[in-house]
Amino acid sequence: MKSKSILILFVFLCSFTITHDYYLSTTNIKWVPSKQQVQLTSRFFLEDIEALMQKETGQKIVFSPDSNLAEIDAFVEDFYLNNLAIQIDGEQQEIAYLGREYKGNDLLVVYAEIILTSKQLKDLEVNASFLLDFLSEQQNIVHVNTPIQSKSFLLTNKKTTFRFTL
Amino acid sequence: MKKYLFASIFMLLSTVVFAQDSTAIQGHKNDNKFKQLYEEFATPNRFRTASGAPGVDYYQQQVDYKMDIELDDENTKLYGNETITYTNNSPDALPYLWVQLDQNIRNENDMEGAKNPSGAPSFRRVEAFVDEFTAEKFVGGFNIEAVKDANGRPLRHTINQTMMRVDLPTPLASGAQFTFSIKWWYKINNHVTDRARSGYEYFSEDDNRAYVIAQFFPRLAVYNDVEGWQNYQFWGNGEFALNFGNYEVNITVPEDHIMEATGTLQNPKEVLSRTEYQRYKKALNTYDDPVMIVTQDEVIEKEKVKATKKKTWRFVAENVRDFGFATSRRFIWDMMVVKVGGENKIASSLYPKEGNPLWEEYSTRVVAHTLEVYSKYTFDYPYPKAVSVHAKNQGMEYPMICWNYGRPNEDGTYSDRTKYGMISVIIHEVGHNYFPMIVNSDERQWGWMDEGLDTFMQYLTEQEFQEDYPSRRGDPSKIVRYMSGDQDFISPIMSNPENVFQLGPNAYGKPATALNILRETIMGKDLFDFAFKTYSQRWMFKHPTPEDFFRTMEDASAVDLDWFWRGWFYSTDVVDIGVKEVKRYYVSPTPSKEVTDLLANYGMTADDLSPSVFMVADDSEEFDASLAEGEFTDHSTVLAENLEEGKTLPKYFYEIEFEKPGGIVMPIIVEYSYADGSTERVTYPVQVWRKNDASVRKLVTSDKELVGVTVDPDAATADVNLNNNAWPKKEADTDFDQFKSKVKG
Repeated sequence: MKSKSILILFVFLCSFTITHDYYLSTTNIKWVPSKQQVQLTSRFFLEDIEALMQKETGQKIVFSPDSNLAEIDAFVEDFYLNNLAIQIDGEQQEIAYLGREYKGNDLLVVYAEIILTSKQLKDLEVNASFLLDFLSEQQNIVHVNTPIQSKSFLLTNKKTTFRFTL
Repeated sequence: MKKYLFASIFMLLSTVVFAQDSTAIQGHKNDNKFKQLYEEFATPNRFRTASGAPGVDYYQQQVDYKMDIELDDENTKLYGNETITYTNNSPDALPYLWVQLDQNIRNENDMEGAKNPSGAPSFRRVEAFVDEFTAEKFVGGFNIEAVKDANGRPLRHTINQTMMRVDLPTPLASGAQFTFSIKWWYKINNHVTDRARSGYEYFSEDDNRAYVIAQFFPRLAVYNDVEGWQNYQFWGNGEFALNFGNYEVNITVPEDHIMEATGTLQNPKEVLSRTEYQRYKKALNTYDDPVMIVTQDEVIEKEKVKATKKKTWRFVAENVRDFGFATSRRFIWDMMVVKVGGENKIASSLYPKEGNPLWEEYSTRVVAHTLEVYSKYTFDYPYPKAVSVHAKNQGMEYPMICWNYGRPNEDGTYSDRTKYGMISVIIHEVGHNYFPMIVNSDERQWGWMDEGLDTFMQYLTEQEFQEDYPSRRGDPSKIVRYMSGDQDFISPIMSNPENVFQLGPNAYGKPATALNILRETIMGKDLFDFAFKTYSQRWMFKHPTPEDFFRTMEDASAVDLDWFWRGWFYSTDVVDIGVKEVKRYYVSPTPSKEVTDLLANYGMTADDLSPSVFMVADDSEEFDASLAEGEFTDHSTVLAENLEEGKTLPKYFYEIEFEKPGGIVMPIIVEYSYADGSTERVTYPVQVWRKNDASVRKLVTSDKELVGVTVDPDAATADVNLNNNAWPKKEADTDFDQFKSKVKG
C-alpha cells in the first residue's frame, strides 16, 4: 500500500502537449552471471541534462549535435558517476563508464558496467540521485533484472536508495 | 464403429491436454480472449446504434455565443460580456443549465495543486529551494459580475468550483431556446511560468506580452444521452467537453496588436494598415509560399512604442465547439492558402521574432501539409482556416487555431530536435481540428479519443512530410518500454485522464501505436482506412463515445476486433509471442509409444487400426537414425502401396510450437528460413489462439530443410520480449551489447 501513495506523485504532466510529458529517467541494472558483469543502461531526456549543464557551467551549450563535444562528454560522465552508487554484497563497486549516445530526438542513453569478481550476487544496494536536486518533479525509475527475479523501484528526492536481495 | 470412434479421439489428442483430476470441480466464467465486449459496452439504443453510427433519436444541444471582449494589456486583465442562446434538442426538460468556469482552476482554491500529495524535499539545490518557497502564487479565477436573462433580470446561479449552475425560471422544454448573458472578468496568468494552456508570455527586454487566450469565457457544459450533464470538474488533466454552436466575437485590444482567432475576420480593412491589408488580400490568392503580412522588421519597430488607442477585431465562426485567440504587438504574421476538396483554406502563422528563422520557414507550410493529409484520411477540412501560433513550451489546440512550441537558440541556430519537435507539434495541434474539434469526443472523460487518434494521424502525416521522419510515437517498438514497465504504474487506455500515471504514453503513444498496428498488421491499410474514414464522417460535427469508434471499425470492415480492444484498450496486458520448440517428424514402420499407449486404453493394438501411417519426432525414444535415410515410402509399406504414381510427398515435416507468455492475443507473424537461403512469410490469424491461450502448434511441410524460425521479424507487434522470438534460440541484442561492441570494437 505504501507504494501506492507514491504513485500519485509519479508524473507531473499537462494533458496538453509540452516538450516532454514528465520528468523521468530510467536505469536498467542487468546482472549477467555468465559474464560476471552488471550492465547499466540509463535513459534521460537530453533536454534535462542539457539544461543542467547550462546551469552548472553558465554556458550556452547545445546537445545533439553537440556544441562542445569534449566538455559534454566529461560533464555527462561526471554527472553519471556522481549520482549513482552501487554496493554488491556489501562492497562498494567501481562503475566503469562506457559512454553515451542519443536515441531518437529526445533521449540521452548512458552505458556503464561493473565487472564482478564472483559469479554470485545476493544483495544489491543502489543509490541514484539523478537530477533530484535540479528538478523538483524528477522521478528516477530503476529496473533490476536478474535471471532469478526482476523488480522496479521508484526513486524521488524523498527516497534515493533501495536494496534488492535475491 | 469402434475404429471410427478411435480415430476421432486420436485427432483430439494432438491439440487437447487433459486436466489433472481433482476432487472438487471448479467452474469458471467465459474468460476467452475472443469473448465479445457485451459487458464493457453500453447497450445500443435509439441514440447510438450497434453499428457504431448515430441512431434515429441521436441529438445534441446547440449553443450560440455573441461576445464582446476587451483586453487590458497594462493590467493583464480580460473583460467579457457574452450572450448565450441555448437550444435544447434533447427530449428532456431541463430545470437548470451547467456552465463551465475553467479559469477557476487558478483561483484561491488551487484545485490543481490541491489534488496532488506533496512532501518536504529532503534536499534541493539552493536556488531552486529559494525560488520554490519564496514564489508568489498567482491567484486568478473568474469574477462573475452578472448572470441575466434576455430581459435583464438576474438569474439565480450557484458556483461549485469550476462549474456554475444557472437555475431557469421554468424548466426549458424539449425543442425550446433560452437566451441569457454573463458578464465577467479575470486576471490573466503567465502561461510560461504557470505552465498553463492559456495566458501570456512576458518579454522583459521590451516590456511586452504575447497573449494566447483560451478557456477564457464561461462555456456551456454538454448535456447528452451518455453523461446527462457532463459536469465533472476541471482538475487540469482531463480536457474539455463542449457543444457546437455559432460565434460572433468582438475583441478590443491595443491598436498596434495583431490578432488571429477562431473564425473569419470580418473587418480586415478596419484593423489592418493599408499595406497589411494589401498583403492580406494577396495571401488569400497565394498557394506556394506564405505572404508576409507583418514582417520581422516591422515588429521590431512596433516593440519600441505602445499604442494608447484601441481597436476591435470582429470574428464570426460557424459550427465550432470553442473559441480561442492570440494577440500581441510582437506578432509577425504570414499567410497563404491551400486547396482542400476544391476550396481555398487559409493557412497562417503568428510568431514573435524569437521563433525565427524556424517559424517563417516551416510553420505555415506545415499547417497546409497537415490539412491535406488529414483531409485525405478523414473528410475535407470544413473550416475556412487553420492558424499556428508560437507559444513558448506548450502545444494546445482550439478550432481553427492552436499554440505551438519550438524556439531556436538566441543566436537563431537550432538543432534537428528543435526543428522536428516544432513540426511535429504543429501537425499534432492543427490535426486536433479533426479530433476533437470536429469529431467532438468528450475529452474530460476520454483523453485518448482525441489524443490517441490525433497522434496516430500525426504519425501518418509526419511520414508523408518526409521519408524516415523521426517520429517520436507510432512505431511499435517505441511503445515497448512503456508497456513492459512496472504494472503498478500503468493504467488501461480506457481510464479517465485524471487517474492515469503517465498521460503521454497512456493517452497519446499507446493508442496511436495500437491504431498503427491495427492498420498495418491486423486489418491492412485498405480495410482500416475505409473504416477510419467511416468513423470520422459518421461523427463529424457530432459527439462520439469509445464504443461508437470500436463498433464502427468492425462494422465497416467485417474484422472482429473485440479481442483487440479488450487487449489493447481495456487491459494493461502486453504482447509476447515466441517460438518454443521445433520438432522434425519422420515416417516410421511402427507406431510411437504415445499411440500404442492410447490404443491400449481401448484394449487395442496397432493391428486393429485401419492401414495407417505412423510418424515419430526426432527427439522421441522411437526415433532411430535409419528413419532419416531414404524416402518416407521406404519406411512404410502401406504408404508405398497407397501413393499413386506421379504423386509426391513433402520431404520435410516440422511441428512448430509457439508460446504466448503475453496476455494480448495477436496474429503470429513468422518467417521460415530454409537451407537453400530462401525465406517464407506466414501469418497465422489471431484466431489461432482461441482454444489455447498459452501455446499452439503448427505443422509445416516442405521440400526444403528448415533452418530458422523468426516470430515477428519486422518488430510490427510491440512484442516486449524478443529473447523467445527465434529458433534456434538467440538472445536479442540489447542496446547495451550493441553500444559496447561499438565502443570496444
